Amino acid sequence: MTDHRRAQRGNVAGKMLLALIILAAFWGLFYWDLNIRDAGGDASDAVTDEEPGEDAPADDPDDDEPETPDEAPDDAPADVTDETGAVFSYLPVGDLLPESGPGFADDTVYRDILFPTAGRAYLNSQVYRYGGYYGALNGMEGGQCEAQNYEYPWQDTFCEKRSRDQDLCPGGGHEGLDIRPADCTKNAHLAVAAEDARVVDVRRHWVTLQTNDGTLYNYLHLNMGALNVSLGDYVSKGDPIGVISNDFYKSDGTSVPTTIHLHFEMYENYVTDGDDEPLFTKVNPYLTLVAAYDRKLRDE
Amino acid sequence: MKHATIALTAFAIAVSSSTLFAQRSEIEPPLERAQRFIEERKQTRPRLAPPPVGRPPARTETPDVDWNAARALVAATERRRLANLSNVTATRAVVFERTAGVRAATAENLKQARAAEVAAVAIPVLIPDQERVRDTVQIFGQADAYTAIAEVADGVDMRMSGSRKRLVLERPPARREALQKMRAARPPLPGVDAAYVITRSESSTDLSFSRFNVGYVLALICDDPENDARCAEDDFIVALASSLALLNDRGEAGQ
Ligand SMILES: [Zn+2]
Repeated sequence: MTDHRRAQRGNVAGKMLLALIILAAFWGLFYWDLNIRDAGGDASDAVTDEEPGEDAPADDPDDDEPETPDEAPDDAPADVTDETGAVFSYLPVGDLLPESGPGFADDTVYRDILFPTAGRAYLNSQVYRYGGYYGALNGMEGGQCEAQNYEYPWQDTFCEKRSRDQDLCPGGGHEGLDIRPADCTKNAHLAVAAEDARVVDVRRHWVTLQTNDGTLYNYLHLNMGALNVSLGDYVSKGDPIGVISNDFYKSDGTSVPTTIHLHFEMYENYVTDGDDEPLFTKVNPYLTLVAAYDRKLRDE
Repeated sequence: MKHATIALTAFAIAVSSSTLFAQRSEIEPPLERAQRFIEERKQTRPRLAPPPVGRPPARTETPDVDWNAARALVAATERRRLANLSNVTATRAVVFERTAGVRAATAENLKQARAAEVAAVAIPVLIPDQERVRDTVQIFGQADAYTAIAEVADGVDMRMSGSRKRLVLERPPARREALQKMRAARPPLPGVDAAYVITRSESSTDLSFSRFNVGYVLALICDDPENDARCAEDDFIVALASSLALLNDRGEAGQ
């Protein structure tokens, strides 16, 4: 009797173990399959495999978005905030979104400029985030007006990946920074002169300013039909240039779809200490803009 | 014994599947990966005693323009032109292309540029020495800088800028150093004898060089930059930058 019961118990235990084995095997196969599918999915897209942050240690995803502290005026956060009380934050220069290109880490603050838009601004990708053509690469599917596009932290987009390899941006191609205004309303937010300058080019979907000591700024995607400036004008720092829009034309006048943003470029003539021959090229204005926005938020 | 074997096998399978599970958790969903990356890397600016943002240039320099070098280059170009002319037959001379180098010209002969704009500039004002450019160029001069914009050919426009002021950077970013090495590896611009780099972006194809202590950038804007060889390849912009007109040869203005 006891032996029989023991044998019965043994049988039950055996069956449970077998069930466990089958379950475990299925479990293993399921995740094995997912791994393979993910790896294949990543490889099929023509994106660079040297994204920053790929090798960062895995951790629990933090889905807590920094909420705007409503009580900012009373509580006075330790960090600089904008007029809504949101704490201003930014990612280091060169830290582009995963899958979005090599970036160009350059810690130079080239000039003390006025931030080139009036009001709040958000530097982030127009192509690899919500509303962008490659938003899905980072799981950011949605429209450009998605609230997450209008939040800090800022993120660098210089040498973000485009269709072409560039000498300045091997594996990248975006030689400027994209600035969203306070919200996604078209033709509502002003772009302003970063410095005293002269309007030296107005064409297609951009305006070029040059300071009296040579620095060049390109403002792209303004509403070209309603500019505040004309070719040859002298502008003072802070003067309106135009309203931020999504004008983007081929030379034949065909419109190319883009988000509502200011694409901002800067050319500087620079030389390495000890070198004699300067290079007059586009430079990454990311930290120049961080410094300018920081000053703006401090009312300096 | 049989049960022990089964238990061991189950244990082995459980361990291996949990290892797979651990690997799985490293391959995060893209959104979580992006959000974690952003969250981990973000930084703020303290209200009190904030550290400086980034690094300013070590210094800003405004070197003297080497006008003697400019005049020597004009003279050398002229000597080469005369030598070439005497070497070609009359029939070939008709289609003879302009000599590479820098030729002196006067702003008064330009149709759309105001001479006063050129006179205001204290650095050599260079533009591509080409008929369509001369016919359409507009110049915006400021003492230490200028920009000229013009049509070059059907489907191609240009913007050429010069600047004497230079920022001296102590430690250039690695990618910038690579650009400087690329410049050193190329032969200099024919006739102008200046090292150069070419960079391309969505808005223009740029050729950057320096001469006479001045930095120049010639930007070509093509209707179809991806497919038009004049922007997509180097030959056209190199040819354009290799034959230049100097519009303020005397150089006294503003000095
Ligand atoms: Zn852009």
